[in-house]
Amino acid sequence: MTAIDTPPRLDTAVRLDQLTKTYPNGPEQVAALRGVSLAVRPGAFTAIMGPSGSGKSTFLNVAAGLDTPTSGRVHIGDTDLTALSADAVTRFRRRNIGFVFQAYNLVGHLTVAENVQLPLLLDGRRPDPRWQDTLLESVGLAGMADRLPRELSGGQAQRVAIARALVTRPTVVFADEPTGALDRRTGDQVLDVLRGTAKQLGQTLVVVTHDPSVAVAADDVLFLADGLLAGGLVAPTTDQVVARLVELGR
Amino acid sequence: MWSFARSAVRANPASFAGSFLVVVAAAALLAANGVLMESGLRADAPMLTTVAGSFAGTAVLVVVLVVASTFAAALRRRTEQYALLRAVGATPAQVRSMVTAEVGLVFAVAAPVGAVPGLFAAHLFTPLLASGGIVPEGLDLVVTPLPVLGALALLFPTALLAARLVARSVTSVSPTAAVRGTAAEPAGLSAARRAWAVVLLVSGLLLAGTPFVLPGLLGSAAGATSAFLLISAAALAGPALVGAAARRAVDASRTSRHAATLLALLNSRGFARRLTTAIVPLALFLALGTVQTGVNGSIVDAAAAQLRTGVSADAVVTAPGSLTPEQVDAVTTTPGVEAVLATASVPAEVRTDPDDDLGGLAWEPSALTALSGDAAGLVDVGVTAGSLSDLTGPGTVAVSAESLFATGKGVGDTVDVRLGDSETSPTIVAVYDRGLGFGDYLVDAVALPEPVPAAALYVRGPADFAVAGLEVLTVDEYVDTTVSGAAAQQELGTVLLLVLIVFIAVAAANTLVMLTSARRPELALLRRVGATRRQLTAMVGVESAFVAGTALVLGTLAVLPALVGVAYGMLGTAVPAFDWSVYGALAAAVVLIATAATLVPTRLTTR
Repeated sequence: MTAIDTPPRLDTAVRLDQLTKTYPNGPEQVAALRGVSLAVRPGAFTAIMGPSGSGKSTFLNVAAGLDTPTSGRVHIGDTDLTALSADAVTRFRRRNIGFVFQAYNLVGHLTVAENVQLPLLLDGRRPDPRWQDTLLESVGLAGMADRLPRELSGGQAQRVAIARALVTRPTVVFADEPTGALDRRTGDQVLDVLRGTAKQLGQTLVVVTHDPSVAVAADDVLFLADGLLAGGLVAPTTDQVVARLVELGR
Repeated sequence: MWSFARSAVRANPASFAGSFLVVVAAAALLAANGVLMESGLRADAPMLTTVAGSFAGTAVLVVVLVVASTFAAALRRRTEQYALLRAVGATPAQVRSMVTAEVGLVFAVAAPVGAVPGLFAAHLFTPLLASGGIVPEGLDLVVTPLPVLGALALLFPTALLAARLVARSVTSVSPTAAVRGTAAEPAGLSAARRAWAVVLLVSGLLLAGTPFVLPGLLGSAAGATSAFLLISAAALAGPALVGAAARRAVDASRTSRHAATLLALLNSRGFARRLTTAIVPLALFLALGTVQTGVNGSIVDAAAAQLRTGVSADAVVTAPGSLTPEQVDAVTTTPGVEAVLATASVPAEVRTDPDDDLGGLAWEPSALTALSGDAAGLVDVGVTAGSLSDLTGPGTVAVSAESLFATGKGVGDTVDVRLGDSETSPTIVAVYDRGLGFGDYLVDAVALPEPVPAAALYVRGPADFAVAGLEVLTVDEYVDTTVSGAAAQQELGTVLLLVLIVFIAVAAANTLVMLTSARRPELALLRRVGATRRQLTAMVGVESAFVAGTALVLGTLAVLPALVGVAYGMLGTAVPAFDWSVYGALAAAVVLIATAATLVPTRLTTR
């Protein structure tokens, strides 16, 4: 067995060292991340906040292995993602990392159940029907397994995306504005599902959000500004978070 | 509206480049064909009119089907944008006129780019026309704007109709339903579409049966057309057929753990319409090539068979070119030769429409076979009425049963024949069956205004003798040379068929490239959910195998009735008249196009 197949169980679930990411923009280079270092302990719920264009989404994509950093290292457990080939990262990702995208990102012609099973299917594993039922029930979609995405509401679709991110029992779950397109009530439900399952399965949860009410639910809040970490709060209140954001937005 | 259309073209270059390419090719093809037809009519070269006219029949069917399918594929990927426009306040009428403007814009640019070179490309055929004896040496083709207008009048409404049908899925429902509906395809076919598919299927099968009722060339020509009706039926019923096949395959492989196969089948189930637009041109490609070569092959085989049974001479004498009267004398006076029948073929025109003077169209180019000598015991043309012994002197003619079909004429009636400038109306003295082998009209050589050198002598006597400068052949050898000569005469037809097949191949490949590159978001999503690049390539590979396989099955099923009918009508057997080498080459091309045109864009998209 290689390191890829061993579930990482160390004192850091996610460790980032001096991450930079630059994009070509015409003749110039735009730096989205300019040296971000961070360690997340297993089982923690971390929220990442920051003004628009601060590099939040880039940060999350690079940390989850969806994008490669220009320099720096990404460790998930004891696996160095930056040392793996693109296909090896993909295989590691679909076994150990769950990702909830900003938009719903369901495959339109696949049913709810098929969408949820996709990561297993791609990994050549047989879906466990009991686990699937448990998941769909815990995200409140029991009995909707055979619906098509267009027959779902926005909140329901986002909950399918959460079930898909959890179906492989990943050790780390990343979520990019999971409640961004939802109303308050649905957003709260979605967040509860995400947090509840993570707690139940002992998963590490990293969520990018601009919503202070999501951030206060987190153990830690980290702020990004101009591609750099700009401090953090432990078990914050809404007022603290808002004050900090206002400060960064100036 | 025009500025909207212009920016749509700018924003969707891939989708428009494909339609552009196909319109350019279609306009060039129709314009070149139009020049040939017009030149035939104006320059009074009836043979050219006939060849170009019969090609035009096939070409128009093919081009209409291909252009419609290309525009449908190009605009289907844009339904999302139209749905969005509906949502922000565009009325259905506005969406419709937007579609019209876009199609119009493509035509305004593409049609001249294709049609003008097409007008002049027709000249490339001139050497072939002259060498095939279809036009006199030195005939100049007539170039007028008419073929371009004709091509446009045909292509524009076709493209517009196809585009409007796609837009209808957006304009006929509420804006929200339109936006929601674009993520996946609607299930099922409309009742009208179902009905049309059934009508086309039934009429295709009936048409394929014509040769069983009406043997000979006419019946076979009608039977061959059935392939197009059946392909059109498949195009209409395609989504249902493809969807059903994919659903069955998905259920069968549910337990499979091969992700790429299962995903590919799930995609085929979900995008049956998309796949149909890819499958139909490929099936058409296979069907057209197979049916045309099969029919041509059957005609040549049937002619050969008629000659082989009809000629009972001991030897056939021919010469390069034709025989001089002295050579004919030399053969006749050869010791042991008991009887000689000389034949020659003279181009002539025969009036086919007695009532109406349609200019050049009432007279059909044909040929008279001039006989000199006694046919009895040398050739048997299969006389069914009258007698060849009455074929003496001017004013008599023997006619094949087929050329009299539906005219109601028989022995004792007259036909109008034009030889050069002289017009005559000889009386029919005999009707016979073997017109393919011996020609449709037999006359006594003395009936011709001026003597014609013999092309072949049928000889009773010794099977083996020698005369300087002449070839003495057995009947089988003679049949073989005649058959290969006939094949050479079909050269123009073959070249035109090849042009048409290449056109379909380009359009089919273009549709596949267009459909594959439109899947960028879907492929990107699968990559993010955890598909490796190799899995995506394998998935698309399975899909292209599904496309190629379905195209081969549909194409083959569509031509099968036609080829069975033609084989029965021409040869009296029920063994379908496949030209296996052509069929094999076309099938290989289908697989190649399906694979290359999907895998290359996929690799590029997922890089």
